[in-house]
Amino acid sequence: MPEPERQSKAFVRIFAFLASYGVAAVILTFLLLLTFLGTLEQVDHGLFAVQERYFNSLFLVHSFFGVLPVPLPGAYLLLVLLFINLVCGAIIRASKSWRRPGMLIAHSGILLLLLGSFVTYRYSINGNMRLYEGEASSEFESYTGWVLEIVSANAPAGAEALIIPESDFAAMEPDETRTFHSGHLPFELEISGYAKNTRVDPVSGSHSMIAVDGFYLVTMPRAPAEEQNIAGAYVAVVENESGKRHEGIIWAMETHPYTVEIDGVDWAFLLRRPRWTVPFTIVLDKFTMETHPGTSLPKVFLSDVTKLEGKSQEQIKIEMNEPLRYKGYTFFQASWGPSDARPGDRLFSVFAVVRNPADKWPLYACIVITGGLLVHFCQKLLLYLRREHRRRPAS
Amino acid sequence: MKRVQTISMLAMTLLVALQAPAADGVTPGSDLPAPVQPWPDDVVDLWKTLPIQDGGRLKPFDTFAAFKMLKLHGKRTMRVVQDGATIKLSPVEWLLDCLFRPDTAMTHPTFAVDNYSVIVAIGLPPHKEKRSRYSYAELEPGIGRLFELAKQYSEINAPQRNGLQTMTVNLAANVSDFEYLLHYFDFARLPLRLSAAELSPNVDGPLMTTDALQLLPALRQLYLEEQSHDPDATGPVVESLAQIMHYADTSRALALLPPPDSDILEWRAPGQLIRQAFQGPLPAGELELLQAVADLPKTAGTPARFKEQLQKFHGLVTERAEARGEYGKIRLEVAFYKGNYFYYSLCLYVLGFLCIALSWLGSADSRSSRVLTGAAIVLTALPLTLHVTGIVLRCIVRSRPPVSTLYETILFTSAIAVFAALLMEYMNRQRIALALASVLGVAGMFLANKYEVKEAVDTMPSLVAVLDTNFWLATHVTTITIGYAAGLLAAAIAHVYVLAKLFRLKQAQPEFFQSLTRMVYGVLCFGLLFSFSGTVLGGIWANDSWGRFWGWDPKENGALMLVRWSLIILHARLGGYIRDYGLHTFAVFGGMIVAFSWWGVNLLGVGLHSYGFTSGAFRALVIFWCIEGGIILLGFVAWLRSQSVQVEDG
Repeated sequence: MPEPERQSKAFVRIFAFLASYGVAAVILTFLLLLTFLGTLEQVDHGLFAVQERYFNSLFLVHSFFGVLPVPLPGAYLLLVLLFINLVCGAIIRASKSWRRPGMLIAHSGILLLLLGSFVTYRYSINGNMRLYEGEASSEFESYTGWVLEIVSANAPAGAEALIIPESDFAAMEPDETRTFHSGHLPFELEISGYAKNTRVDPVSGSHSMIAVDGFYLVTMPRAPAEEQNIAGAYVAVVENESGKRHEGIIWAMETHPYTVEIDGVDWAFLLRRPRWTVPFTIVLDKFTMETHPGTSLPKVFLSDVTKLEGKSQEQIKIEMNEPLRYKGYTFFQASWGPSDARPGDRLFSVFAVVRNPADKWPLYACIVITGGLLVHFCQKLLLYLRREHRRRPAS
Repeated sequence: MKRVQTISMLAMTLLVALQAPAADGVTPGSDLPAPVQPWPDDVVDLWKTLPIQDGGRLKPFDTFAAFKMLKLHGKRTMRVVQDGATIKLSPVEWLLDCLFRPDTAMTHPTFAVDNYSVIVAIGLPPHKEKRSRYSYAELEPGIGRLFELAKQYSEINAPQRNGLQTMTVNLAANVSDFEYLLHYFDFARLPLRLSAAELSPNVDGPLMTTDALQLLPALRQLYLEEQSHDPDATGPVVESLAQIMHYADTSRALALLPPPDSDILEWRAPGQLIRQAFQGPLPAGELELLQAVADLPKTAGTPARFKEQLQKFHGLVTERAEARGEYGKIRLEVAFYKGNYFYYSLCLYVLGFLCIALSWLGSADSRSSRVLTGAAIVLTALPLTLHVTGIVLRCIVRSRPPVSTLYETILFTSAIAVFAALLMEYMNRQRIALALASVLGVAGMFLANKYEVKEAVDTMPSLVAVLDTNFWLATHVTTITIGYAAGLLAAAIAHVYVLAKLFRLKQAQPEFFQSLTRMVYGVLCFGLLFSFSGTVLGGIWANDSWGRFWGWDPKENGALMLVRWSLIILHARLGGYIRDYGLHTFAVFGGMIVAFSWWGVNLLGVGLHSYGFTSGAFRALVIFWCIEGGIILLGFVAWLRSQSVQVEDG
C-alpha cells in the first residue's frame, strides 16, 4: 500500500475513533464518575480543593474507600476530549440534512457551552468589594491567592510599589529560599518558609524553629475552605550597599505590615489578596437588610449605590438576583455586616465582582441547545405517533 | 415617662430574682382531670379564619394549629378517651383547649414519643408501648430533669447527637412550646397582687394586667410611695409589676394583633403590647385590641358570650388585616386545607391501581377488562385533577410558582409523572403506562404525606431572599423537577420490562417489550430536554445571584449527573453498545441518580442547597438504592439467561 494511502487510512481510522459514540459514552461516564466523587469529597475536603483536584485537573488519583488508589483523567482533560469528540462526531461527521437539523443545532450549542466554560476558566476574574455606607471604591480583591506587596510612602518616584505574584514563591520547598531584586529597590528580598495556612506564635521553651523577635511561624493543615487559609513566610531584607540584613515575618492577617527603614525611606512588606481596578467608582449610599416579619429569615438585601464615572453619576440598586452589569463587570449582592449590628449602626455591604467575557454565553447556548433538542425530539415524537397509529388498527 | 421605664427595669430585675417556672402560672381546678367539652362548630370556624402571623407570613389560625399539633402530636387529629368513649379533637379544638382550658389540655395525650427510653431517662414510668403519646400531666414530674438533660445535649452538635439525645432535645422543645400555649392567656386570667381599689377608687374587684396598663400613672405613684418608705421593699406594687413583666414574657406564642401602622410589618402578641405600654401610652386602637383579646378567656366558660366576644375580636383583627391588604388569601388557605386534596387523590390513585390490576386478570378485549380499564382511567385522571387543583391553590395562596420547597417538589414531580404516563397511555393504549400512572400517584402522595408529617413545619413557608424570585422559581425549578419526573417515570417503565423478562411474562408478545423500549427511550429524551435546560437555567440563575454560572455545588452536580447519565444512555444506544436490556437497566440506574440528586445531596450537609431535609431520609434512600441495585442485578440475570437461550437456539 502506498504511504499516502496508508496515512490516509490511519487518519480515517483515528478520526472515526475520535468521532465515535463509544468515545462520547466513555468520556461522559468518566465525567459522571468524577462529578459523583467530587460531590462526595466536598464533605471532607471543601469545595476549592475538590474543584482543583477533580474538575480543573488533567489527571488525578482517587482513593476508593480510602484504600484503593485509582488513577483517573481530570475533568479538564475530559472536557477537552469531549470538545474534540463533538467537533469530529457531531459537527464534521454528522449528517447535514436540513430535514433533521435538531441534533446539529443542539451539539453546536454544547460546543458553545464548552467554549464558554473554557473562556470563563481562563479569562474571568472574580473577587469582592466591601464597602461601608458612605465609602467609595474602584477596586475589588480576590477571594483566594496572595501577592507580596512592597510599598513605600516616601520612596523615590518609580519605586513606590512592587508586587510579587504568589506564583513566584508558592511552589517553594519548605527549606528553600528565593531571592528577589529590582533595579528600583535598594535591597534584595529573600523569602523562605512560605506556607498556605499559618499562624504566628510566640516562642516558648526550646524549639527548633526559626524565630524572629520572639515569634515564629507555625504551618497549619490546609483548611477545606480556601478563603480560610492564611499564608505566611519569613523574609529577609538585605541592603544592597551595606549588606545589612533585616529579618521578619510576613503574615496575611497582620494588622501592621513588616517595615524596614533604609536610608531614611520606610519600606513595608505585606501579604494581601490580589486586587483589580474597575474603570469607575462605586459609592455605597445605603444598605438595607429586611427580614420576614417576626423572624430572622432574610427577605431583602439591598444596596443603594452611586456609580461615578468622570463627571457622570447614576443611582443604582443592587439586590439579590438583580446585579449591576457595566463595562464587562458585574456586581452582585453577596453579603453584609457586621452580623452583630444594632439598629442605627453603620453597615457594610459586600459585592461579588466578576469580569467574565463569556458571561452570557451559557444563556445563548441554553437557547440553542434547547431549541435543537426540541426540534429533534418533536420530530421523533411525530414519527413515534405515526408508527403507533399504523400499529393500532392492525392489532 | 422616665419613671415608668425605671419601674419597668426594676420589675424586670425583680422578675429575674423571683422568676418561677412558667408552669406555676396555671392553677388546676382540682386533682381530677377536667372533662373534655366540645367547642361549638361556629366558634371553631371563626377561629379557623382568624389570621395569625407566624414564620414571617400571615396564615389562618387553622394552619398554625394544624402544624403545631403535627409537631407535638405527630398527627392532625387527637383522640382523647373520656369515660370509655373516644373523642376526636381537631387541631383548632386542641389549641383552643390549650389556650382557654389549660387544665383540660394538660391531660390531653399531646406529646408523641417515639421511644420510651426518653421517658425512662427523665425518671418516669413509661407506657407499655415503645411509641406512645403522653400528656403534659404525665410528664410534669419529670420536666425538670427533661430540661436539664436537654440543656446538656443541646451543647452537642445536632448531627453528632444520638437518637436518645435528639429525642430528648425535641421533647423538651415541644414541652416548652406547649407551656407557652398554656400560659398565653395568664395575663388575662390571673389577677395581680394589687387590688383595683388600691389604684383607683372608682374601680373594684381584682386588678388585671390590662387594667393596670390603663392606670400606669397611678401605679407609678404607688410605686414611688412604697419606695419612699423602704427602697428595698418588695411589696404588692413591686410584686404586681414583676407579675406584669412575667405575663408579658409568657404571652408571646401567637402574634394575633395587627399593628395599626401599615409600615410596621410585624404583628404582635399581647406580651409585646404589654411591654410597649411601659415605653409610652398605648394608642386607643391598640388598647381596644388588647382588651378584646384579654376578654376572650373571661368568657370562655359561657359559649354564647365567648362567641360574641370572639366575633368582636375577629371583626377587629380582620378589619385591620383587610385594611393592611393582608387578609386576602386567609379564607382560601382554610378552604385548601379543608379540601384535603392530596389525601383524596391518594385514595383515588389506590382505587385506580386496583382497577387496572383487576383488569389484567381478564383478556384485554373482554368486556369486564374494558370496563375496569375505563374505571382505572377515570380513577387516575380524577385524582390527578385533585392533585393539580391542590398545587394550583397553593400557588394562588402564596402567589408563587408551583415549586419552591422540597415538599412541593414531591407534589409537582408526581403530578408531572402521572400526567406524562397518562399521555403515554393515550398514545399506545397498552395499560402499562396507566398502571404506572396510579403507582406513581400513590407513591408521590404517600411520600408527600410522610414528609409533611415528619418535618411538621409549614409547607408554604417564607423564602430566603435568594429564592424569592418568581421568574427563576417558575423556570429553573419547574424544569429541573420535570426532569426528575421523567427520570423516575423512565425507571418505573424499565422495572416493568425487567420484571416481565425475569418472570417470563408476555413472552409471546414481542411488541409488548418493543413498546416498553420505545416508551423508555421517549421519556428519556423528554427528560433530557428538561433536565438539561433546567440545569443550565439553574446556572444562569446562579450567575445572576452569586456571580458564577457553575460552582460544582452538590445540587448542581446532582442535576448534571442526571443529564450526563441520560446522554450516556442515548449515545451508548446509538453506538450499539447497549440494546433493550441495557437501555432498561440503565434507566433503572437513572432513577437512582434522580434519588441522589433530589434527596441524597441534601444529606451531605455542604453547599448552597442544603435546605429542608429530614433526618430519617437516609435510611429510606439506602433502602431505595439497594432495591434498585437488586433490580439492575435481576435485569443482568435475565439478560444472561436470554443470551444462553439464544446460544442454545443457535
